[in-house]
Amino acid sequence: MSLIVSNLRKKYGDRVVVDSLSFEMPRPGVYALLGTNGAGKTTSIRMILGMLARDGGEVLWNGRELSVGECSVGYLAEERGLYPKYPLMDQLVYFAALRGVPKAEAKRRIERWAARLEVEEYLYPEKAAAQAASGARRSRVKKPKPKLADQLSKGNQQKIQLITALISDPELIILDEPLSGLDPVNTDLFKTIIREEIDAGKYLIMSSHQMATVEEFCTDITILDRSKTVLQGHLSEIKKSYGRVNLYLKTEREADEQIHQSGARVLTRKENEYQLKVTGGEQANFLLGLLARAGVPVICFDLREPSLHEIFVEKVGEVHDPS
Amino acid sequence: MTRLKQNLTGLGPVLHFSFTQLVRAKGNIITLAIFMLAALVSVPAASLLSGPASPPEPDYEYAEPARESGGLSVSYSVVSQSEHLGGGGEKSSGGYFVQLAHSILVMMVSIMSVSYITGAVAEEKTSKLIELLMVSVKPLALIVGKILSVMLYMLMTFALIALCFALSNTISSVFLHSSLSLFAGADGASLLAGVNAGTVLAALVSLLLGYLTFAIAAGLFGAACSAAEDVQGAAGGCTVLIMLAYFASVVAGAVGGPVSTVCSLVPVLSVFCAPAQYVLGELSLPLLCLSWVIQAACVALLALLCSRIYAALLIYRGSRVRLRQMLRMARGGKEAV
Repeated sequence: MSLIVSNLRKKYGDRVVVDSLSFEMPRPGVYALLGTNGAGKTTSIRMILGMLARDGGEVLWNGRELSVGECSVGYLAEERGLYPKYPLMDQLVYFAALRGVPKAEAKRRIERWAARLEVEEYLYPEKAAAQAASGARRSRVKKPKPKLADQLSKGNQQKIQLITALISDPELIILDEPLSGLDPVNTDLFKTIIREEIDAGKYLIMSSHQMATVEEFCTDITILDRSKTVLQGHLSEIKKSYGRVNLYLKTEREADEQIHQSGARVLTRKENEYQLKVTGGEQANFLLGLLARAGVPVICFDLREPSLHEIFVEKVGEVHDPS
Repeated sequence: MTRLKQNLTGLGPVLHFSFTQLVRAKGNIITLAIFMLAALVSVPAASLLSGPASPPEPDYEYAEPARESGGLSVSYSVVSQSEHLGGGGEKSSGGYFVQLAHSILVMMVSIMSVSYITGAVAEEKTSKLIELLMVSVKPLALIVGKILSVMLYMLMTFALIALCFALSNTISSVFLHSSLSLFAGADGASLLAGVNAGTVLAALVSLLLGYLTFAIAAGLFGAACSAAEDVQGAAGGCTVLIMLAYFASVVAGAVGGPVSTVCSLVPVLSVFCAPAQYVLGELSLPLLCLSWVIQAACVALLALLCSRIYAALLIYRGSRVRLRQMLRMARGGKEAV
């Protein structure tokens, strides 16, 4: 299986909102679609999913035009929503039916996901009530009303929405800001599920502003800025192309003089901990030599490639300020 | 054909879900219960309030022999009353009653449907559900599913009310020796006797065409809303149109003659006028068919407009899209908003 997006274009009047976006996923994995606000990520996703008419380009799944009828797609939209006044279980069964999952199978899957995402008490309130009233006489237990979406916290609503995205066991999963608004515990839960989907050989497209999350999961990226692709490729290759230019230095005493001599640029400093920008391994080694000769005890000397965050800021900054 | 089939994929679940939610809605259950109860008690209550059953005093001449209708002797006809009033060509009060009753029925169905469809479409947009839905189902299937579910619900509601009414009428005629035809008066009884499969079919076809017109318009106006506060305005626009058509039909029904014939041919107005005028004999069958063709063309045009801009409207965010903007979108491409 493979996903090929080629030359996607979209204009609103005279304004180009997506300009020749192309990328390819020849094998399962996670592809990141990154960009500033208004860069064209959501529009691109809508065009990939066929929600929005394209002015040009094509989206091929296994060499044929992507059709949600032929390829099962799971989508967690950036703007999340549920019917506020309808029972949650009805909604999940409905979304499953829309994706062709029969009712009985849908109920089995909902039960499994409810346990996995720890939302059983909202989807099966009668079970929760029965457990709570296990000591009381059965006749006194009042049948609880089904839970509605607007009775849930934002995080729990997000869990229900993740179930709707994954209930059809999709081959292609598109996650738009999947971790926004989650607490650390639920963030970890979502991350575990995303990892499981990756391990299961799914194709994931992720759009996020949380660069650390993207770095954690994605193998390939495209950075969009004002409708144009400003950077694209395999993440580790991109990072390698920048070289190891980030140096974290921790010493037992001040090393300002040696740093100044080496020509390294200090980004941040907290007591004897330095975040430095060097031109590469040579300059870093020169600094290490200076520190050794001066007898400055080194606790930590960590030379790294730039983070995705830095690459993103640099690339987008370049476009905004060419000088 | 294949494209239409693709565009209607997912229609079944949308129809089932929308209908189920309509049936389960607490407000709808209460409304239906009130209507059914009112229908059940209407004839006995009227009978008890009006005293013992007896035919109304004739204040006009006998025109034809008495005939049996609904188990009771009805001795007068619309024609006889018209003649008595000295207006062979004038409309009878019974005729006016038929026009009014039909117009009220169409107005009720239309306003209830418009209100639900506008609200349901706008809810999916304002609850940010639309993108989630559009991954699995095409916009056409979404709107058609809603239109059909509301139609089924309305049909079910009116069937239940009619059943309660018939039950009420039967009970009254058996135990209280009074029935609907007695309270309908001479003209009404005659008209009730004149109701047959043909007139019911004419009314249903017109009602269906009218329903489709208002339902598609409601879907478009609902999709034009981006926020909950826009919904009232959107539904209000459709309601005003329905009310205007209702009043025009009532006036046309009272005036009669060429006015009612013209109104029976004008789209939207014809929904209210044509079947009633046909039942009253003011409109010939070919003219009734012509009014259906015109109304069907109006529905087709609305459906075409809907198919061109509905998807774009659904994902549009911003201030409420006005009718002029919709037409511009349809003419100049989907993104003209």
